[in-house]
Amino acid sequence: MEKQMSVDLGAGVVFHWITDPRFKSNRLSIHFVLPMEVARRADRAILPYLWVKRCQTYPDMTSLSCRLAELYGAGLGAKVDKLGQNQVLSLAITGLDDRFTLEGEAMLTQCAQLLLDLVQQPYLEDGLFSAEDVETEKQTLSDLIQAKINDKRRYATLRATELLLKEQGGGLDPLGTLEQVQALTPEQVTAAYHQVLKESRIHLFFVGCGNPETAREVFQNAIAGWDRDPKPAAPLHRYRAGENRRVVERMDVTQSKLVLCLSSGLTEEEDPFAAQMASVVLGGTPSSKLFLNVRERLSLCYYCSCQLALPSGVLLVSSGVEHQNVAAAHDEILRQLSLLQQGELTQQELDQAQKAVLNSYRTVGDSLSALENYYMQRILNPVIRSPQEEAQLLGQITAEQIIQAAQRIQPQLCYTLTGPEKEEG
Amino acid sequence: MKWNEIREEKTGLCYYQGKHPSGLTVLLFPMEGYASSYALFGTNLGSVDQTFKRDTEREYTTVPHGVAHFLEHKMFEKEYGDAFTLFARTGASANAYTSFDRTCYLFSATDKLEENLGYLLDFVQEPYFTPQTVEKEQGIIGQEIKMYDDDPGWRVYFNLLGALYQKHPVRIDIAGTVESISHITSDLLYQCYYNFYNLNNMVLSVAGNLTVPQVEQVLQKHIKPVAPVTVERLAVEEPEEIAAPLVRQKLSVAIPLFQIGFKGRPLEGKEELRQELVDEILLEAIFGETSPFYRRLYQQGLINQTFESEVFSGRGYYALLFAGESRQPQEVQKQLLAELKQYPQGISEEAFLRCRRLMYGRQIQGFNSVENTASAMINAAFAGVGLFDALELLEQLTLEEVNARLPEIFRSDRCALSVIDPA
Repeated sequence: MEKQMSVDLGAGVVFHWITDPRFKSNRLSIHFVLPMEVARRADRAILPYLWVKRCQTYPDMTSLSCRLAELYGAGLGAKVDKLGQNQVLSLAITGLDDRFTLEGEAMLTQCAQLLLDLVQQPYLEDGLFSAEDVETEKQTLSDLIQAKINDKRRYATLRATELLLKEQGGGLDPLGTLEQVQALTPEQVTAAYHQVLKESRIHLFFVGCGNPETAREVFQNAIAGWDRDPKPAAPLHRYRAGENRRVVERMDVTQSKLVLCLSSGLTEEEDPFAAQMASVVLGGTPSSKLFLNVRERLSLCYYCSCQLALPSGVLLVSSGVEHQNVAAAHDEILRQLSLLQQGELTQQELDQAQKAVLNSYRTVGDSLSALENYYMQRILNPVIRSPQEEAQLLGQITAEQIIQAAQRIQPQLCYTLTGPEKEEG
Repeated sequence: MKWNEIREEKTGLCYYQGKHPSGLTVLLFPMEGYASSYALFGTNLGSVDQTFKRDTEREYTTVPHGVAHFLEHKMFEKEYGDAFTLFARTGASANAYTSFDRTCYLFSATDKLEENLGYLLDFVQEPYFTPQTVEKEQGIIGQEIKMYDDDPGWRVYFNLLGALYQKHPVRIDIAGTVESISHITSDLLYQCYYNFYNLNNMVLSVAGNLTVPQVEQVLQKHIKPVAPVTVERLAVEEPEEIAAPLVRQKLSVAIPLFQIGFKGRPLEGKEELRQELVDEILLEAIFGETSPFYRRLYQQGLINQTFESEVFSGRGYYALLFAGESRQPQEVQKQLLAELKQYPQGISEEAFLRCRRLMYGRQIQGFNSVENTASAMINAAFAGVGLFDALELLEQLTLEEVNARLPEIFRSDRCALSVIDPA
């Protein structure tokens, strides 16, 4: 049902589609994938935000927004993300299917056309992005970079990952640095634009209840006219274990955040399934070792969870703890890991983890964006499997395989975000 | 059980409504082709329900702030252990939430719907509180409260509610305070439980992969009928005036966060829903992304893409809220108030039709998700309206009605600003 199909349109462009009549909308997206260039991240990161503001057809923000409202409030989204050591610039539009319109409008064609217009006919003045737009979107970008501090839980995880992966060329913020953003000029941004259209790998997605052929035709016709010379994306890279470190950073916070980064030892060739199950057993559900012990039994924190970050293969244990409990929570987390490594894994724990995983994989197919995201996250993988196929493989992982995977796990970084020194108990 | 099929003709969307002999309202929305089902079992007890009595009692009882949320946490703890472990057997993902005017227990599952539904109904119908477990929970919730103390998005919101409301408990954090929850006892939890967790006050809403007979069978087996209880809430006499025009706090943020609110008069049922839709059109037309206001402030760098607005409503409270990040929050408020003067005749017909169309599209798109659908059903039930009433009312709205509302809701003397400044 939610089996994804792909066709190579040539010139580094792949069209993926998943059709399902249960949905009432169609989601179309375009993703530009390029290896992250440390110094040029901001040049590119600003592009999606410029694209969604105006284009030649809709030459100001208001006319574009009105157009989206006319399209029954079609949602337009810009995103900059990373996938391994690649920067991914994305634009997506989600609109009601033709069947549900009041006057039988051809929504799908119009949405596909609008998405393309935004990307291939941006609003330029004398061949350059306008200085005014660049200035405005520099602000957007720097606000996004700076706002990361607002959510302390997320900030601590990002910061820990950044510190961990830095030495191996990862952990870079795909938005770039504040300094890079501030230095951007219309010339630089326009050059980056042409380079992105020419050199990136392009992944187009259609997910919805309409006819994917409609979208494919619109996309294919347009891209045929682009000057393309695609460069390969940065291949899959897993984190290599190094020395164990400890970093404490201080901020005016009432509750400390503890993040433990653990290496899984996974190699690029390996499937991550056993490590994934180890992570679920350890801290992926409310019946996991960390939740039941660190939170429930010892009341050391409000949350304590673990997830395997892919493609890096790093396990991130994240917890919100009172300042005076940081050391105790840290020790208990490692003790739980060590118990798992020693083989402490009951049949019940295994069953529950498998069922939870199966449930979350089955749910993927019920959402347009979750489906797109699932497949997009896997484009670098040597084999791309459907959610059902992956769920089946995860379900076959045995207790022994989980314990073996756990035995390869090594603590790499203990990151604490805590209050000012004087406040510590 | 007798079921009413409720169908929306234009879209063909359809759900079933039934009243179980126990008094429980049941709403079912089968969604063909979906793997998951999402179920919510809720009661209309929320953080604002502070003073109440049974209709058979003489005296009102006032409970400490945060009781509803505390009770929600404690419902998971049983003599046999944690109710989460039940769902762990099937792999369902269970959770719960407490809002200002309701508490809901929920799960999302792709397998064994009957079993999960049985667990959900059972664990919410079986309270188990002891002084020891209450004491332990005070520690855990205390940590949750502290976590929110560090959350600027949460603080800017509650500071605004504190500025808008003088007396209404909506001004207090849903979880209460470390001090208020220290007064909670197991007896108090039982008292709240037996008053509010009475099937007559409760709704079960399930959407997704299900059939009506499947759910009916579970209800027969798992509903434990009890004598109906009617609870009377002491109405809070909230003045129409705001408490304070401005409130500021410093926290670790890079860019100031702000919220602006306009206090309005709460209504009930369909009347309230109609008012909400009218106000949503006004918010969209005057301040939404299609408006000159949005474009101007965005280009001036006064707002960024986080700027948004919403209707905030529930039992005994109603306000329009704006939220965003800005280096000059007071200037945003000034321009927002000035913008209203640009509409002496109200919004144009073109803007009205455009916004209505946009709202129609968003309503329909909401039915893509089992979670949204189940949540929309329970929200509508607690608001005393039907799931498709919004679609029907949208069609009936007139430009005149929308424009007549404009001077009434956006009053500068009913407007408050909350700002979180960088520490």
